[in-house]
Amino acid sequence: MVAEPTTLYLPQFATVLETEPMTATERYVKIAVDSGESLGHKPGQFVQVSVLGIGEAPISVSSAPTADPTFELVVRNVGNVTAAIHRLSVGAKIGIRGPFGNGFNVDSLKGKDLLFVCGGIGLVPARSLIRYCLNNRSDFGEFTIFFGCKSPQERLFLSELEEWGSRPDVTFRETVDRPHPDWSGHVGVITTLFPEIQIASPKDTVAIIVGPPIMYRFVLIECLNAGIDEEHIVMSLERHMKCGVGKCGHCQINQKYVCLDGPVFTYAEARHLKEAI
Amino acid sequence: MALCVMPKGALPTLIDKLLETQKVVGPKRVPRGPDSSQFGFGEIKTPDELELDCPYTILPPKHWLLPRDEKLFTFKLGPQPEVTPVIEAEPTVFFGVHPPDIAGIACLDEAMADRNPDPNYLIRRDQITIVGTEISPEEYRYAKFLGNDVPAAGYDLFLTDIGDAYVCDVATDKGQAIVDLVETRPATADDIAAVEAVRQKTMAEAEDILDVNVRLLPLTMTKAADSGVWKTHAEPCFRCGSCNLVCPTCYCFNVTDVVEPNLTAGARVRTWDGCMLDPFATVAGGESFREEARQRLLHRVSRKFHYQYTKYGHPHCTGCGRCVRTCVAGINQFDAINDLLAEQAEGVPHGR
Repeated sequence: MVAEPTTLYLPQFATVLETEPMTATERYVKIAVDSGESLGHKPGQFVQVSVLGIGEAPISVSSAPTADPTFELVVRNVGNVTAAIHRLSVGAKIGIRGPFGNGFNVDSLKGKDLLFVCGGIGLVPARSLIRYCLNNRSDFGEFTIFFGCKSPQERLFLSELEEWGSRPDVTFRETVDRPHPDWSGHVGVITTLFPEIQIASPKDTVAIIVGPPIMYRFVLIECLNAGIDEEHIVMSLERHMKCGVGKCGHCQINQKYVCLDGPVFTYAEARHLKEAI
Repeated sequence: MALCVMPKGALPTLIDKLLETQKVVGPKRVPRGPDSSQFGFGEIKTPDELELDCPYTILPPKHWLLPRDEKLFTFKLGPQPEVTPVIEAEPTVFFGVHPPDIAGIACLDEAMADRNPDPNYLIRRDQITIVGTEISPEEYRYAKFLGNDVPAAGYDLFLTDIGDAYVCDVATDKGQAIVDLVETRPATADDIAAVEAVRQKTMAEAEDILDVNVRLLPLTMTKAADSGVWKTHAEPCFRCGSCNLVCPTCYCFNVTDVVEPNLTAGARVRTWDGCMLDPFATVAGGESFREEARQRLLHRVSRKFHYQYTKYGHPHCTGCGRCVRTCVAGINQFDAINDLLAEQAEGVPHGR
């Protein structure tokens, strides 16, 4: 047996700086890479998170790119690895590989009106781009964010939702699927927010859609009906990558590997991929 | 490089000499014993274990390139955890690989080298020498249609049994080093004629060679997604994944952590996985993007004849026929392809 240096499957260590529950099933985790270097991610990329002894899972980075070694994740407790991430306390060591994936093409968004359509936990990867764009607000035109949840209890990043709602340079609309005693806002699925706003120049608008698979087909119809170009409809797709480097086959959609060619696809690309949504 | 001839009597000496410096892997009877009628690529400890006349092996030599359970790294748990990369590789000769399996190794090579080179595979592969032998009549049917009835490339040395001797086609320096271990003589025109006669005899014994223009298949597959052929052919599928396991070009894997009983150490391990198996395309929310067997069969056949074909310029099916032989439900992907071709030619649906 020969052991030689190799990095493709070997995680680097990182430390949990903060961890707190965000909902009944989601937990916020702030992490710093032990090397002291920046993670170097682009908005929309993901990392493979290791809890040694339990395993590894792909998780979207939720923070905007930074120069320091910290980054943020929001993890839904759905399996062995994510449950283990929920159990981590401050100071715990985790493994990180990545960042992986293409991420959002931020240069192509410059000068455009932006319409974010985020369903539930889809806000997590979208937030990395929203925060990046808000940090560079003057690079973009109209700035609209739709956020829809099944119930008010599933809302994420509450203080940021409040901030977006109060900013004069952001149009923020929220909805929950069904009426709830604790909710006085808009009720209905996310597509019911479209009549609430005017898309002034659809040809200059880019829609960024991130949510559960069921959401895409209905939101796509709204975007196309509004006159947004297929090339300007951007989606981030979920798959369970086991390797993140284009080998394991789990994320393959036809000729594409979501871990390499995605997870961000335009509708113009994705409409030719059977099984994409 | 060159053709030479090795008397058959020199083979045991050759194997013994190889065993002095490296591992030898070749077809032997499995599970054990002289009465077994099944063969598999196993470690050859003595020359008499090697069964070069076997018609085919249950598995290709894939498990010696991509082990079923392969350590990627070991780890120590605790407040200051450690990880140590592991690459298991040692000098090995694959002795007795038939042309479809030589083609299969070439497919794995290009997939593992592509975009993010896989060090575990490539370092292991670098230490492997491939000695090929002729295809059997039992393997001929699909291999011929895919052009893998005769060796094209991808071997270091290729042996053709001409009765009392092997004609040795030396393709690389590694192959030359092997023939240099024993006495050989240069090949004559008669020897070359004997090789051709062996191939003609195999072809004559083979049955039902498919007559399909392989080059048309990527285009055929681009128009295949909505065909009822997949439903018809996938109907009896048990989703057991046997076709994935025996395929020389299926390399998809899962990654898991295995902790030792002391709970302080363990290893990250990759294990074979298969696109016909159930949780393969399932995501965290529970949604599976290929829930139905027809979608999985389409995906598997598309990888062989469309996706990988388009990417690498040749089919990622070698025609070894193992998926057909192994399927307990009797599914034959070539029959499905033939139905698809007929459907497209006639413009009449062949499925349900």
